[in-house]
Amino acid sequence: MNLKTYNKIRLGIVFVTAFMFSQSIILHNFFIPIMVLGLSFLVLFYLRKQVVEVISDERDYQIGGKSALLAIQLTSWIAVIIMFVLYALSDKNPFYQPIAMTLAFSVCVLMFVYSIIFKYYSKHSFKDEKRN
Amino acid sequence: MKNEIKKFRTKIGLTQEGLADKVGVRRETIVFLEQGKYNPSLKLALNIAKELKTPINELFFLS
Repeated sequence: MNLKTYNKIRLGIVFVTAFMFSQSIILHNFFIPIMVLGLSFLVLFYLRKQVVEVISDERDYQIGGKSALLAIQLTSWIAVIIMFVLYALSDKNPFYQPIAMTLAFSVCVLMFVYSIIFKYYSKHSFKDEKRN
Repeated sequence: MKNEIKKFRTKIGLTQEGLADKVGVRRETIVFLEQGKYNPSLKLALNIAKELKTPINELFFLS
């Protein structure tokens, strides 16, 4: 299988997954998305193994690393700003406080997980033999 | 960092796709390398030099 066919199938699977998600919300059946996600993962994993061309290389990983870092920073800043706004408005609506708390803890967990992974990779040798 | 990948690649009649396959990267990476928009890892630089049968210092140099 070549890369173009793989990308077409992947796009199709994304559409089907999105459709099934919307149907599960309408039908109030939350078992469907779990099944669909698991099945999609397995199908994509199998198809990825069938592709003979290089799907991603060191440049993609480098871009991915930078994008992930920027995404974490942006998400954290946005979450913190929203959290402060919600705290400020919690006098008017008490329901804002648990949302603000959830956001605050989410950012803390994100930073904590990021720190652990960063420490792990900075301590252990980072060999990318599997990638090439 | 500058490089002479295109010069040495065309010299031996290798396409971008062919070189990409030989060194295990995507064709786009070779395009960006030749345009000087991407600095390769040492491993990739050594692999390219090996495939183009050129010493690495002739292929890559500081501008």
